[in-house]
Amino acid sequence: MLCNGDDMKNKTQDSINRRHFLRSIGGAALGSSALYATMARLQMANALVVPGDDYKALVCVFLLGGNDAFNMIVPSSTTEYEHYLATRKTLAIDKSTLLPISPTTNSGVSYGLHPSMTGIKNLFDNKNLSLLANVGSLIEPTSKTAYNSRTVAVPPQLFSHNDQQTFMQSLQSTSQRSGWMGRAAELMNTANTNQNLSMNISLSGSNLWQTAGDIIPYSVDQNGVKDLGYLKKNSTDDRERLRAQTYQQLLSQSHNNIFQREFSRTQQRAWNLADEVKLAIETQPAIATIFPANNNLATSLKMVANIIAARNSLQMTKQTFFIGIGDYDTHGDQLNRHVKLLQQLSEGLSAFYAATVELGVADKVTTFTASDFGRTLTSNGDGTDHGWGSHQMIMGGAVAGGDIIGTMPSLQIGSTDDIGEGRVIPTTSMDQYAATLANWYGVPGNNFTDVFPNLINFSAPTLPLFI
Amino acid sequence: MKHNLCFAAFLVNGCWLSALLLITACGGGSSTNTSVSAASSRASTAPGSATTSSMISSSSINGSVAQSSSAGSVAVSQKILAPDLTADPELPAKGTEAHAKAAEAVRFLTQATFGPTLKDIDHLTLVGKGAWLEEQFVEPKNLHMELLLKRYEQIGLVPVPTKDIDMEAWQRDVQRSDIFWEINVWGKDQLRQRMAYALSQILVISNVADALFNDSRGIAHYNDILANHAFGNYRELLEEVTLNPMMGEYLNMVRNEKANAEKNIRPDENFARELMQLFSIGLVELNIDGTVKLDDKNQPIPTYDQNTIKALARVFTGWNLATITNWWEWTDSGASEILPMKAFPAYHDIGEKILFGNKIIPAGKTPQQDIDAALDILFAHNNIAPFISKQLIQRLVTSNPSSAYVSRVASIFNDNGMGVKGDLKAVVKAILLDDEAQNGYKTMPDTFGKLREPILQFSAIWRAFHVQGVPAKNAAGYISPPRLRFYGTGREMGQRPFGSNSVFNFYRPDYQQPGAIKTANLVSPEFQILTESFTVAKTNLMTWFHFWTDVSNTSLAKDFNADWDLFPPRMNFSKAKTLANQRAQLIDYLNLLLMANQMSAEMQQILLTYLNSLPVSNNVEKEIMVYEALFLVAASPEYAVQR
Repeated sequence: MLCNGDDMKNKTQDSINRRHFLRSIGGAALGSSALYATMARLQMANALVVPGDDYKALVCVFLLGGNDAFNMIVPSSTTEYEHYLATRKTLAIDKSTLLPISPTTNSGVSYGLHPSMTGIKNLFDNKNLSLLANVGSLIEPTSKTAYNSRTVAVPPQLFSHNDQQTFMQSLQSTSQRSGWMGRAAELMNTANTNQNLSMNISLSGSNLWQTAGDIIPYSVDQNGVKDLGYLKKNSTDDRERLRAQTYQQLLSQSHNNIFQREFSRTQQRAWNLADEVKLAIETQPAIATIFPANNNLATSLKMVANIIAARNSLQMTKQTFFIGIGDYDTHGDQLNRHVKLLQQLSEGLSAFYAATVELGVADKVTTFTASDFGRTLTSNGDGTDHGWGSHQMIMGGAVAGGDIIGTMPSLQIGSTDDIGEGRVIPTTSMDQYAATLANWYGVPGNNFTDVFPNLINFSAPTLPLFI
Repeated sequence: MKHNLCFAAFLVNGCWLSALLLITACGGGSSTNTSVSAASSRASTAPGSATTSSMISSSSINGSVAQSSSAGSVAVSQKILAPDLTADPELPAKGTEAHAKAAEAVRFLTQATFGPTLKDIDHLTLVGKGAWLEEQFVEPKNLHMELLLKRYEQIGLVPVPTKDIDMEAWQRDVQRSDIFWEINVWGKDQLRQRMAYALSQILVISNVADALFNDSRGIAHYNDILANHAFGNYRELLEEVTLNPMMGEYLNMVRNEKANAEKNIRPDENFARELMQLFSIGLVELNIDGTVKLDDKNQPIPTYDQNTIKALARVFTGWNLATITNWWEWTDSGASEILPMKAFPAYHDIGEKILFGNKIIPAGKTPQQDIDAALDILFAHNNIAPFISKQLIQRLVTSNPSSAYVSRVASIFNDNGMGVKGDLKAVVKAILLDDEAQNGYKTMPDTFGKLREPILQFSAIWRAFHVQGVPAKNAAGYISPPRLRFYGTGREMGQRPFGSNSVFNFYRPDYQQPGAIKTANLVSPEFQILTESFTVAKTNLMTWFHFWTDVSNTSLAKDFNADWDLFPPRMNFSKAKTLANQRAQLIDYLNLLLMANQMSAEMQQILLTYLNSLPVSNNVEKEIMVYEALFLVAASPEYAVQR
């Protein structure tokens, strides 16, 4: 019954008693609803002792717009800093403000982190996070000479936002593309007992990374899963139950228009899963770790932690999460904007790592950053433009932390790393980075060539990112 | 920067009355939580420069804007926007020729307006599509900024402050949103505003980005630019957009200076790149029918390379906000949001520029001459006609137009019949009067049409049922005239006008929903925001916004808190309620008005079975009957697709 006036009170009462109501109601009354399936699984989850807990999660934090990592990690040795300063001029970070780090591998050059990244420095110092140097979109190893003489294949439309996001997430140059995590999920689709919920969960809506064939990420709002009001299939209200049945009939109709069919499919999936996922999340104990307020990334990461906490209820042993976080396209006002972006990133990642420790899954969850591309070393006056290679961060208890892995580029204009304006040729490919993450996650190694199409062109298929 | 306090309404256990919760991080806004706006925090690059802000009066701004050569000839509407309180004409009887004509009118008006009304259906069937279009071309236009300035005055805000106040930003932008909705659901200039809305999804600016924080006047004015040129010429529109300070801030053309070896800086490439990629020619060579040209190795042919971007970036150097006198000054003057950017020749690169390898802009030209030359080169490119025409078809009619349809429209874009290229009036006419627009639902039933985008899904129902606003009450107790408060739609449904997450719009024109759509190699732009979380929230919003909104209902709240960013307006269901006793006729009525009589027999039967189970012995039950029917139609897969 739709509520108005006094009915409101009854509904509120229902809401208070909802958990009690769920426990007491008989299975028969629930019929074949998704809720019943959840209940069954919840009982199973409680009955099962999960030996060893082979859970693993990959969390992708995609820095939309192209992060300027050349201001995130800065050389502090005299000569290298001078090169950096000469190139960056007014965009350079003051050497005295850099947060010094001591990588396990001594390259002879010292480095510091951007002053707003105290959380990242702590993670690095505690060996819970490492940096991957100068990684980017490549088809094959690329030298400046080969690039200039066009004797090397490069990804299509370098320096274009959506094309490079597409490449980083698909690793494909073809016209029909799928995401590398989507393809990996196709290979691992029997990993999870729960076959209704996608292995891939997005906090930022549609994305290519988690998509392939019929693999579609399940999209969750950062503030939680909402269920469909007015349409409870198991409502005690006859009217509502009948309305839900009617709506089910509308979604089950066969349509001759493809958009109607696909709308039905999406709406049905959303309806079925909302109850199941919402219940699983809301029945977990609250996470005690404090996430920073007014931090969009932290809010999304907290929801990821909530879903990870519900992994046994949801019967998920392998999960990926995607968070796209915006405004890294710092063409203008970079110095002011980047401080806030990196602070948000540092505080968000720190809180999330702490939450995984609290949940006892720190070594089962690996979080990594990716971005469209790096940025030009040179300035356009108050910002930077679209570049190529860039540095990324990998965080988690399984990560070989406290190190800089890969090769740092020269920051001098005109160096063999620079194809112009300080667009830096990557020395490590996204395929290698992705394959390393996938290898840890458990993607079967014999399928790597299908998932990472350019990997065969690189001598080292995986990188020493993990313990 | 976005205001970080906004109020969201949630359905509580299916109950229509909503709890209001304080949300700290709204929508796609980042946490970059500063009290200083991006525009005003842009410190000068010259050391020690003094800050100045120029004073410009409201009247001088009004006098200096909204002039545009080919586009400005239509009068400005002097009518006060108000809901339609008069009765609708009678419905034509089912099975009659008039009924079939009405259904055809609904299809057409769904493509050309923010939603059919019975009066518009009546009028269109009387005068015919061609005459209706001609009427719309001369219909006096509603100006968003003019109404916004009046609204500011009405609620005690300075219309054009000499210095923007950060704390007012949210309140100012909500007023802009209210006016967007008033114009688009109450205005008579429907086709013009629908075109402007379509163009706003191609020539994208968005105040989700910090760059347009507290620039509501500028955004309203930008909306007017799109509307002014809706029936004008795309070349002129491109130029006005290029010089517009909102675009300048959004894509960093403002303060873009020539290369300076001493400072080791070079021109900003952002506007140059997106102008080509998104606003004019796209990434790869196209045929006139919108299909991708392939080289002898069967590969797409890029339209430009990095050299062209670098050259074009140099073209767009030397422009800054109009209210400053020295390049290094900054300003937070309200007027600088409106006035076209001003050239500072000393900061312009006067060297020769070569675009596309062989298109030469000679050295020594002025900033304006360089822009004219560069835009002429882009406008002459063979891609622009199919690139823009296809996207306009996708916004108005169908996601997957046949190549022949694209070709027909693109040919009109290239030549309106009088040798003029880029005539948008001719283009929109060609789009809407095309046989495929009118009969595609019969000739290609499987693939014709488009998923209704959230904004248009709500606007159509509001217009069909004579939507009326609800007064907003602020903390001081001031109760406003009725408002259409529908600002939090980005957070709830992934779509807020001028609020996309990036210049790549809410969705890409080539987005393919994974599964059957991708397998069939079709595109489905609007599906990019049909995620599980958005579709659930949208469906909940439909229940909240449709149930218990009838104007006759006396138990409704008389006003809402002015800080809320969503509140259900009232609708007039008097006609529908008279049909509550004749449920099949109620379904017929909704079928015609909302679905162009395209509802399947199966769906009609499913609805009828349910409605037959509902009592209808008193007025409240009649009202409920209408809500139940309307909600199930609005949330149905058949209504979800415009076709």
